[in-house]
Amino acid sequence: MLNKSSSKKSVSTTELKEIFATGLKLCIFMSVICVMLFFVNSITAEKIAEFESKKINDAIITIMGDDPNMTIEPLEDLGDSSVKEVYKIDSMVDEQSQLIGYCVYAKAKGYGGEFNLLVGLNADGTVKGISVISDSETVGIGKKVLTDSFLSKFNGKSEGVTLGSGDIVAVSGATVTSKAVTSCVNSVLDFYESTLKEADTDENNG
Amino acid sequence: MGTIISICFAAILTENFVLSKFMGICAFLGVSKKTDTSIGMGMAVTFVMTISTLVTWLINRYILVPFDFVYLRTIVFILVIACLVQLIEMFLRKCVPSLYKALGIYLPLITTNCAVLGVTILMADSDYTNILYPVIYAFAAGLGFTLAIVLFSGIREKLKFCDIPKPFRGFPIALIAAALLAMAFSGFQGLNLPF
Amino acid sequence: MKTTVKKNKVSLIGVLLDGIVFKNPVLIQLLGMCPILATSTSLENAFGMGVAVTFVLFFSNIIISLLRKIIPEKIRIAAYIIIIAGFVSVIDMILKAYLPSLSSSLGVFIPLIVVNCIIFARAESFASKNGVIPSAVDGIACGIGFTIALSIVSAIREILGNGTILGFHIFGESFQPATMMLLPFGGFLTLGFVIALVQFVTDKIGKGGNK
Repeated sequence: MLNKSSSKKSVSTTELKEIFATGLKLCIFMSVICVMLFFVNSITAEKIAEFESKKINDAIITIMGDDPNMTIEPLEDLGDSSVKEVYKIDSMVDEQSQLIGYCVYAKAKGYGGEFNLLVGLNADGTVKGISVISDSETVGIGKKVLTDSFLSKFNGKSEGVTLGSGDIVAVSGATVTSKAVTSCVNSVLDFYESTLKEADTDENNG
Repeated sequence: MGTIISICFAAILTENFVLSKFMGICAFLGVSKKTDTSIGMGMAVTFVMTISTLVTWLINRYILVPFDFVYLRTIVFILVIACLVQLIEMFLRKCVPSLYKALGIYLPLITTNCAVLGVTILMADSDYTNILYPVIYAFAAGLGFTLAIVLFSGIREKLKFCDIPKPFRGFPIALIAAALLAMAFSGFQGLNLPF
Repeated sequence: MKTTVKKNKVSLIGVLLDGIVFKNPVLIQLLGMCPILATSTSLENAFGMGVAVTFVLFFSNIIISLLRKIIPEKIRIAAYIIIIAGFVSVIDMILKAYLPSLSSSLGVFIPLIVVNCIIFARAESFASKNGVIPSAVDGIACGIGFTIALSIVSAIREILGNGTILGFHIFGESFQPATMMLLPFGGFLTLGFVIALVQFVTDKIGKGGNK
C-alpha cells in the first residue's frame, strides 16, 4: 500500500516536471522566433513607411505639377471614414502663399480588396487628376479601371458624378471597381464641400 | 441595422469566402462528400471563425497596435485559432461524441482552414471601430462557408451516380462543379442594397 | 536466411525529383489548393507566390529538421506552427518593404501561407524524420513543384483571360480575351482540367508500365 501511494506521488511530480519542461521549450521557441521577427521588423519597417510616403509625394507632384515654389502641407484631424489624409498645396510666390489646391488620399473598396487613390483638387474644388497609390485588383479586370484612360475622365468634375452619365461609362466587366472609383471621387468632392471649402473661406475672411 | 444587413449579404453572397475569395478550399473539397458531415463542419467552422475574430480583433486593437507589435500578428492569430480548435475538440469529445466521431480528422484541420485565419486578418485590417461589426461579419462568413459547402455536397452526392470519364474522377470533376457554383454565385455581384 | 541491408541514406536527386515531378504537392498529392486558385490570375503573381512559398518551405524544413530531436512529441504541432508562422512573417515583411506592388497584389494570401497544407505536410512527413540537407532539398523541390503547378494554371488563365503573358500582349492589343477566366469560375475550371490531364497522363504511364 505504501509503495503504491509513493509511486503515485512520484508519477505526478515527474508528470509536472514534463509539462513544465514542455511548456518551457515552447516558450523558448516562441521567444526565439519573436526576436528574429523583431530584427526583421526593425530593418523593414522604416522602408515600408518610406515607400508609402514617397509614392504619395510622387503622385502629388505628378498631379499638381513640379513647381519648385510648391509647398505641401499635411492637414491634421480632417479625415473622415474614407479620407485618410489631406494635403494642402500652396505656392510661395513673392513671400505670399497662394492656394493651388488640395490632394486627398482616400480609400475605396474594390473587387480584390481595398485600394488607395490620391485625388488632386484645384483651388475651386474641381478634380485636377487622380493617381493610384496601391491596389489589389485583378490584372485584366479591375486593373483596367485603375489606368489613366479611365481616371482622367473625372478631370474637371466638381459635383456628384454618376456612372453612365456623359462620358463616364464603367469599364465593361469591371463594374465593381468602376463604381468604387466613382463613389470614392464623390466622397472626396463631398468632403471638399463640407470641410475644405469652409476652412478655405474662413482663412480668406479671417 | 442597415450596415449589419449589408455586411451579412456581403459575407454570405456577394463575397462568399469559398466561391469568391478562394479561402477554405481544402476543407471545401475534402469534407463535402456527404451532406451531414458538411453541415457539422460548417457549424464548427462558423463557431471557430466567430470566436477567433472576437479574440484576435481585441488583441490586435488593444495590444498589438498600441505597442507596435503588428508584425507578430500572423503568429499570434494562428496560435489563438489553434488553441480554440483544441478547446472545441475537447468540448465535443466530452459532450457531443457523435459529432466528434463524424468530423474525425477534419476537426483539427479547421486550424489550417484558410477561411478562419483569412477572416481574422481581414477584420484586423478593416476600419471597423466597433467590435460588433467584425464579429457579425465573421459569423456571416461562416454561414456563407456553410452554405457553399452544403450546396456543394448536394452536388457531389448526385455526381456519385454519374458516369464520369476516368481522368476526371475525384478532384477534377469536383473542381468543375465548383466552377459552375462559383459562376452562379457571381450573379449576386450586382446586389445593390439601399443602405 | 536472408539478410537485407537497410539503406539509411536518402538519395538527394530522388528527393528533388519527387518534390518536383513524381510527388508534386499540388498536382499529385492535391494539397495547397487555396493559393493556387486565388493567385493564379497572372504569371507574375504566380512567380512571386511561388518564391514566397519556396522561401518558407526551405527555411522551415531546415529548422524543423535541425530541431527534430529536441521538439517534444506532444507539442510538435504547436512548434511547427510557431516556426512556420515566423518565416511567413519574415517573407511578408520583406515583400512589403522591397516588392510592395507584388505584396499588395497577393494581398492576404501571403500571411495565409502559414496554413498552406503543403508546408505542414512536408514538416510532418519529411523534415521531422530526415536530416538537414535532405530536408532543405525537399523544401526547395516541393517549392519548385508548387511554383510549376501554379505557373501552369496562371499561364493558361492569363493567356485566355487577358491575352497577355507576363504583361506582353501575344495576340495583339485588340484581342478580346475571355475575361471569365480571370474570375473564380475560370480558376476552378482551369485547375480541374489541369489535374484531369495529370491524372490521365499518370494513368497512361501506369498502364504502359504494367504492360
